[in-house]
Amino acid sequence: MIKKLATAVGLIAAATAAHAELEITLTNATQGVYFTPVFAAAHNNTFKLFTAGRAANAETTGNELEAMAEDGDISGLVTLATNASANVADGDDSGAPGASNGPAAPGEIKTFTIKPDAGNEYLSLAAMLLPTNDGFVTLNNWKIPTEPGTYTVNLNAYDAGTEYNDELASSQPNPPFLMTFGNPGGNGVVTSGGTGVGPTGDENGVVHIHRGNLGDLDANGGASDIDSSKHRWLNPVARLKVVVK
Amino acid sequence: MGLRTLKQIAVLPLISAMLVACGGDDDDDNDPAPQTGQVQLQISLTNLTSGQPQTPAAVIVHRRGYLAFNEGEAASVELEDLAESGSPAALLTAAGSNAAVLKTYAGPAVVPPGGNRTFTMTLDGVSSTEGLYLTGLTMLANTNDAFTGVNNVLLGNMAVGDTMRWNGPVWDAGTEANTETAATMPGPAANGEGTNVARDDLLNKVTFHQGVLTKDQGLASSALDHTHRFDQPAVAIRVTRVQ
Repeated sequence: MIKKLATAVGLIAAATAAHAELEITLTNATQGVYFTPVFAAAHNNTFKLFTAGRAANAETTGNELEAMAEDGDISGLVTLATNASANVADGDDSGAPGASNGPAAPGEIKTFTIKPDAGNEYLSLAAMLLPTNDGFVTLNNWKIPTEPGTYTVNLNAYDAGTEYNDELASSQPNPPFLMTFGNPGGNGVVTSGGTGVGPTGDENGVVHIHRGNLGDLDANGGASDIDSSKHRWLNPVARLKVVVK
Repeated sequence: MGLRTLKQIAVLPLISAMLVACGGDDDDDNDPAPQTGQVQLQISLTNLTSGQPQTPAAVIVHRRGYLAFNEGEAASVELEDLAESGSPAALLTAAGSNAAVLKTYAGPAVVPPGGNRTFTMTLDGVSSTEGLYLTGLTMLANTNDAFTGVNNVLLGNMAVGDTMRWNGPVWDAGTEANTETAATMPGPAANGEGTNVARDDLLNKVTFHQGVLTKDQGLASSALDHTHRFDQPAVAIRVTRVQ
């Protein structure tokens, strides 16, 4: 009888147990593209970042994904996820959750942990790519394996579809770490005389795989403010290692 | 390290194979009487690019404990040599002295765009592929320091007849600036130098490759044209357990 009871308890525990701690290592595997602070959360099926082929705000309540992709601002996603009972990687700073998980320079490796509550069976991650207008690296709704082990995933760059890719410095954040044309110390929004990759107005309005930066090699003109010898990529742009404890 | 052209390295796989043989690993292609308990793998690499010959491959079967490189970390000098000159010799020699490595294979030849290389590797002393990993790397010859392949992929427990497949991304070794000039690339589009020990890339770290610009995208000093552009993946890898 005692034996049977023990088995039953074991089964119940297995059915409802939370995942063990996740140790997450994100490698910015680009040669010249920065990741802004990283949003990462274990969540249930009431939260979803986006669906490829649908508008950026189709899954979220407002412009949370757009704000991440255009401005590197993850606070909206953090609030949304937290309200959906997600476990957000806060980088040990609950005052500004996730803000310490970045920025990640090209080639930089970031490590953080998430301890999912019961029912939070999915992992999602997103960070803006700089320089881009609305490019972001993402892991979308990844089912967390139940078997302990080390899992490695390549992550692609997506375009939020919310802003035309004119590639002008004035259309994107210019944080101090970013060294684009005309911004040699990265001290503010300075253009390199680009006229803008055009014509404007043909952004397709849905989340899709990013076509990459066009850029140019003209430091004082041309269409783009992005240096094509530095700030390009081919997908994938990141390696994600998840250790399920 | 001296300059080495692609033509010169064509003979190197032979030397490398002999070195490996000295270490006790025979060339198994014509093994007439396989021992029981052996594992034999047929490995195929197909060049998926439009205009990038792939140099003699460095293929390594190993356990946990050997790692050719890690994204975000600086390349070893041996990987630098493979990525800049196309010779697998240095990487395989280093691998051969690692206790976690079961077997290495070199080459044999440069594989043209659309071409394929297929070979077998016999693993003595093991009866299963459980816990074994494959690393197989080859340079894109018409680049400064690009290479493709598989890095530390788990074979798992393969039954005889089982096949596993991967598509290989292109990495940048981070060891040479991507100037694309004729003097700096060993492939037939340039016939320039192989390894140059200077580390002058954007980052002294292995990353995924950002692609080549070529003169058709405005880099006037480039020896490359649009036919040398590539995307991910650049190589298809197939492993079949034949014994």
